[in-house]
Amino acid sequence: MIANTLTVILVLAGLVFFAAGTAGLLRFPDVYSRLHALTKADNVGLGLVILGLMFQAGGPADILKLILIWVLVLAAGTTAAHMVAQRTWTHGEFESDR
Amino acid sequence: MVGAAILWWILAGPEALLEPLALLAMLLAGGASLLLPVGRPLPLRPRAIPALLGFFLRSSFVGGLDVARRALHPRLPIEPAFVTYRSELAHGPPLTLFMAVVSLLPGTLSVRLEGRLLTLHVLDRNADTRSALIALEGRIRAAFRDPRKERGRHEEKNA
Repeated sequence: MIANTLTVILVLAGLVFFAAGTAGLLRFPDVYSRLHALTKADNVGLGLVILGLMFQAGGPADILKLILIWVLVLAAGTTAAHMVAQRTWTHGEFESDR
Repeated sequence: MVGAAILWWILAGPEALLEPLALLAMLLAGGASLLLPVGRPLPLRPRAIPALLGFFLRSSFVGGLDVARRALHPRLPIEPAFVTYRSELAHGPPLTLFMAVVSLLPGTLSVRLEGRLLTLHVLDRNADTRSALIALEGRIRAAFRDPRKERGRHEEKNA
């Protein structure tokens, strides 16, 4: 019961961060600022969702699997953000839609 | 091979660990890790890692909170700007980690690296970005052994 309550609270909190990240993606004025919103807010959102799901895990293997997912998404997210930012820096005017 | 076994256990569960295919995969992974040329070992200091991890978890959470607040704020309180920062970290894993973590710190995003000169994008030009970067750099330096100092030590030994 306590585990289920914690799961619901943490997953809902995580979803707030995903919503905020998406709001930032839509509202922020340029590519770089949008990347801020996506990487950082989604990282915390996913972290909270994963933390919530850990209370439903069947054993240590499941918990490690969830942590592995978070670490891989984190590494992919920050690398992708940097690559998009670098591409925008070198080819930004060419591809600008403003 | 132990690493491959643990990974299989994580991904497929304990029952699947003794299946023929699992054993084959572990053997091949272990064999491949022996056959492939050995990369340089990561010059990590194990004792400094928990502190770095704690710092990272705390500040990346603050980073998410900060950008979520700005994104949902009705007046959208951001003042984007570019900032340059010259890092003293060695090229390779320390600098790569530094750039990756910078993108998850509150309000900073690493854009470009030229030599040791890092170009960052900040969401709030009035924030004290420099001291946050110096703090992060200090923590990463503490977690890695400096190859330049290592080399010096070897030379002393040989002399």
